Amino acid sequence: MNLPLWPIWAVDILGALSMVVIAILAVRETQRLVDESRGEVVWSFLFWMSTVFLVFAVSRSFSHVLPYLLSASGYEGIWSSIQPVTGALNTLAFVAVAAITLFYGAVADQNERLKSEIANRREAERQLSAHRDRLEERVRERTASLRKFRKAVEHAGHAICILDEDWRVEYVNPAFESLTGYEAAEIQGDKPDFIEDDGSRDSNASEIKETVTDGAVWSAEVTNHRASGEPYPTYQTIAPILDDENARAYVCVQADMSEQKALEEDLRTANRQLSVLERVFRHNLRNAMNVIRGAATTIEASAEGEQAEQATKIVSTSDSLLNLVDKERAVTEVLVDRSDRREVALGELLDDVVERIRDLNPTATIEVDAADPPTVRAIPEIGQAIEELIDNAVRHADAAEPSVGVSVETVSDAVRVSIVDQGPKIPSMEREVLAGNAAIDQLHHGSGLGLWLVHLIVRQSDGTVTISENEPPGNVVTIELERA
Amino acid sequence: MSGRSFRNRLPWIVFGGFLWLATIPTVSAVQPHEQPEGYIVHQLAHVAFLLAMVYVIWRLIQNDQFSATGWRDIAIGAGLFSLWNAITIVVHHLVFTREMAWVGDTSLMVTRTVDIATFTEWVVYLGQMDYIVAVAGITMLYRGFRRLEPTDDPSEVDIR
Repeated sequence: MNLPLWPIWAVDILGALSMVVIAILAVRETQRLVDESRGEVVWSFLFWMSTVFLVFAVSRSFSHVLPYLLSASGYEGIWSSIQPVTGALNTLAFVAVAAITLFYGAVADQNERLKSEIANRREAERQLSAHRDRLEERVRERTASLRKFRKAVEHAGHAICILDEDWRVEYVNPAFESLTGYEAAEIQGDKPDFIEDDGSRDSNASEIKETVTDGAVWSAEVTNHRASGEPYPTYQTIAPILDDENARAYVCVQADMSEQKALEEDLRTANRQLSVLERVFRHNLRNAMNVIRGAATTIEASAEGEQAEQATKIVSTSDSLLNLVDKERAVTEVLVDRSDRREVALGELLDDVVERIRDLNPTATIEVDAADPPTVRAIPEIGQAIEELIDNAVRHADAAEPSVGVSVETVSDAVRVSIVDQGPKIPSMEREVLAGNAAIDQLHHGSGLGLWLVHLIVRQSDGTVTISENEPPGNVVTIELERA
Repeated sequence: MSGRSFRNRLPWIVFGGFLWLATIPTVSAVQPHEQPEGYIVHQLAHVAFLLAMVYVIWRLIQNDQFSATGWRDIAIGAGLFSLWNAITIVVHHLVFTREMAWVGDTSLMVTRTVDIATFTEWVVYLGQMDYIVAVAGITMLYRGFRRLEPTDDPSEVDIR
């Protein structure tokens, strides 16, 4: 088939021109992208690719159009020298497209990795920044807390001193300066006197170090010395500041005892004076009462009728008063000469007490229900309390031959001694005094000193007294004491 | 000359350099270069060009940019140039191996016709009009470049 060549020529000429024109426009567009971009490699790639496309378009245009033009103009011989160059350019352009594409592909990969790394780094920086903000917030809170704590220490009423690992003063609060007379700057870095073992008998230094280094708290009432050398009494507590169970510092708190000591001394003096006054008063009262009783006894023996009856009343009242004086002495001794608790054998004590009361009250029946009574912890006067209760039960009984029961019961670590009678109910005021439910004062004291004495002795023995009603009618008074 | 204006002119300088090379009448080399070396080199260059275009398309697909405005046109342009390369590789091969002397023969401007007898000759005849595909390809590239904006790059990170 014979086909025309003009379509090929037309496509060649128009295509070549179009290619060159559009390639130039493409270069301009990619140039725009490069100029307006932020330096992204992709725009640079497009720019260089479009440039090589322009080279390709021009070189191909030469090889497709020039031969016809030269042939038409009669210079077709020139084409034979140009053709290799345009062909080479064409080939080079193809290779350049491939090279640029691969090169920028590699650069783009690298670029992506860099972007990823930068993004990661920025994320890390953001997290770091957030973490730093949180940390700063915590530091601010901690600082505020510490500042508040420091102010609390500075305004504390007690003297506070912080010592380092080597027992040297790191910090003292204003109360410490005020109490001791030492300025903070003056004693910082020094070891306090109470930690220096001066070899004297009063020195607690070794004991303090041993106790506190072991992680325990040492506290005692001691006498320290002010800067002036003046001694002062203080209740001193020294505690370790532990870090992983190791003492890294020590805190010492001193409570000034000067005022309390002065008050105690005043109280002791007052007690001594009262005691002397009480002895003088009791001695004089007893002497006077004995004189009165003696005179009344004489009258009672010699007089008759009304006079003899009055004399008998005087003798009876004198006996009551003398008895009251004895109880007052006992109460005073319990109050003034405070005894320490010790082990008391309840069995022997009950035997003595019951025997004594039986001697004084031959008509009374006292039954003891105590098989192998235990030992209790109480003050030595506890026998007086039990004797007072049994004696009370005998004396206030309605019957001519009163009957009183004494029982001992052990419950766990406690021992209960119960005195059971069939007498009239103990008045409510007496019951409250006895049970310690009401303070003893001018309005609330009961009719006698006996139950008051019981209450005081049991309280000092760390025991309790309870009262309940008996059946048949009567009273059950129970003293509960610690079992030894 | 500032850096930017130099960079703007660089393509023209490179292009001028190529034109200057065209004026060199003979090329000296230690190793002689004769046919079919030129044919093979040119065909290899076409293959490289084709693969580069395929690579561009693959990258755009990989980066999820294939459907983005502008980039889609560029991908189509790259596809047309791949097709163009394939056509020219075939036509070059046929022309080189089947001795079709009429191809590029300017003397035919007188007769203005060519006798096409076989399928191969049909392929070569039509393949001579490869500019249709090439112009379409460069047009799509240009259209893509025009529609791109510097902010179209999906990356949000400025690495300057």
